[in-house]
Amino acid sequence: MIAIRKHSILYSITAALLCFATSLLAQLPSTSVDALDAFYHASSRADFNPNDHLLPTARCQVVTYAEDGSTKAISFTPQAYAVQIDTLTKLFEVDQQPVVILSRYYGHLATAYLSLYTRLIDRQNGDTLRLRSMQSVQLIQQNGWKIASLVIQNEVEAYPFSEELWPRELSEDLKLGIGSISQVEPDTTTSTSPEADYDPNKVYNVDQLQVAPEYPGDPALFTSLLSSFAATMDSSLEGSPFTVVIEEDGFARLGYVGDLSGAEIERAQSFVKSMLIWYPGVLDDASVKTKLIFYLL
Amino acid sequence: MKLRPFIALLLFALLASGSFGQSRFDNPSEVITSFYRAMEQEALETRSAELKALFLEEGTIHSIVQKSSLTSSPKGGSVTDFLQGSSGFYLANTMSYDEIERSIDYYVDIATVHSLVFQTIVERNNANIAYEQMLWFSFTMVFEKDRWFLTNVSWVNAFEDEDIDDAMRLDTLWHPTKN
Repeated sequence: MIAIRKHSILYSITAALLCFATSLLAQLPSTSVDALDAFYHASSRADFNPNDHLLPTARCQVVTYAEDGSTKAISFTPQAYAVQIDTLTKLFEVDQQPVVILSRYYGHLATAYLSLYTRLIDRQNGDTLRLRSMQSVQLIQQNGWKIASLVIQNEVEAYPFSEELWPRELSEDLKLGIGSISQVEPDTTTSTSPEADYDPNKVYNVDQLQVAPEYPGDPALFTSLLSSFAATMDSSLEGSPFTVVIEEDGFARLGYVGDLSGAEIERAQSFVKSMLIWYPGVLDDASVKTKLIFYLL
Repeated sequence: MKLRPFIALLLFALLASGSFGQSRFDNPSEVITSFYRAMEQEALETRSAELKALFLEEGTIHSIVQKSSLTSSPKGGSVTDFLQGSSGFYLANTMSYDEIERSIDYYVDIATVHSLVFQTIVERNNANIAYEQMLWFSFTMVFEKDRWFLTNVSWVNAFEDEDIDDAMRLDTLWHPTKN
């Protein structure tokens, strides 16, 4: 009886261990492409854990551009990248989906050169940005496939994606643009015609208005606000651009932030929240939405 | 005698164009060629200077010693980590690289290069002992300050179970996407 009981216990322990091992294996991505899918899914969520997807030695490089067009690659450790994701997911509902993956692998090294579709929905006002980027990823199998290197190049309008990486069959239903520099479709929320008639739903540029928006009070107040957040409206100072929309009622909200890092987005958001209520822009004797361009230094 | 001015002029033209003098790394291929040349340098100072000149400051190197399809020993870190970790091996051996095949994917300011190379390792104390193997290198680069910089290099050696030529074979995967 004792012997039988011992065997029963052993069987139970073995079965439990097998179940545990199987569940662990089921969680590990079985291929590098599965690992990529898991990474883009996880890095769209606030609870993104970099240790699950990136090697401790991994670096994520994002290509950015200064006002003069010069390139600067910003490098993030896995933890710093997770902070960027955390900031982004606080501001936006994020959805990232690979479209075409050019994959190579041999042994425990795999690479992917891929086009990525990203949708950002502003949690405050529901505005949606739809962007695309090209990403180069290297993965190494070490307790499951993990990313060793990630390089991100957002779309540059002058260089359209090739048909190979953005095939019509996959992309014809994918909308792009709305406040995005990399838009393919015209941005219907921003009028570019100086002769445009008043439209309550449009966001106008200052040069289209009869009266530009004006910050209330002494001009020194506005100057002080700008300097507090190291922001400027002077495009010659080579800062990172972003837009602020002044609504018809004078309230300011953050607009395009595609050129800012996560920390900069946070700074821009605090800057906008610190603003008093503006005197709104006027066209045809009516208050209109106006887009202002600022730069973070 | 008449050739001298011509040779001098030719040398001047080559130096001025940068193709003979200091490299400008204005195309990815030049970076790859320089990378293999740097990896062959015997003196640590030279190897260190040449490798660091090719990488961004935050650049990384990952290497995988693959023993079979199931077992491998990956290592990774900064360029300095690599130089320190491999210095003992370089003291005992010399290395040379012959590139067999190369392919490049690029978009605006990023590039990915895949390269198959034949590596020869010769023991310094006994030149009769040499090891040869094929390696697959994968490079990522960015274009910054008017030149290409390496951001990461990863490589893996050939192993018996699988033909390393497979590494250069491209799989194009269409991903179902929803708007």
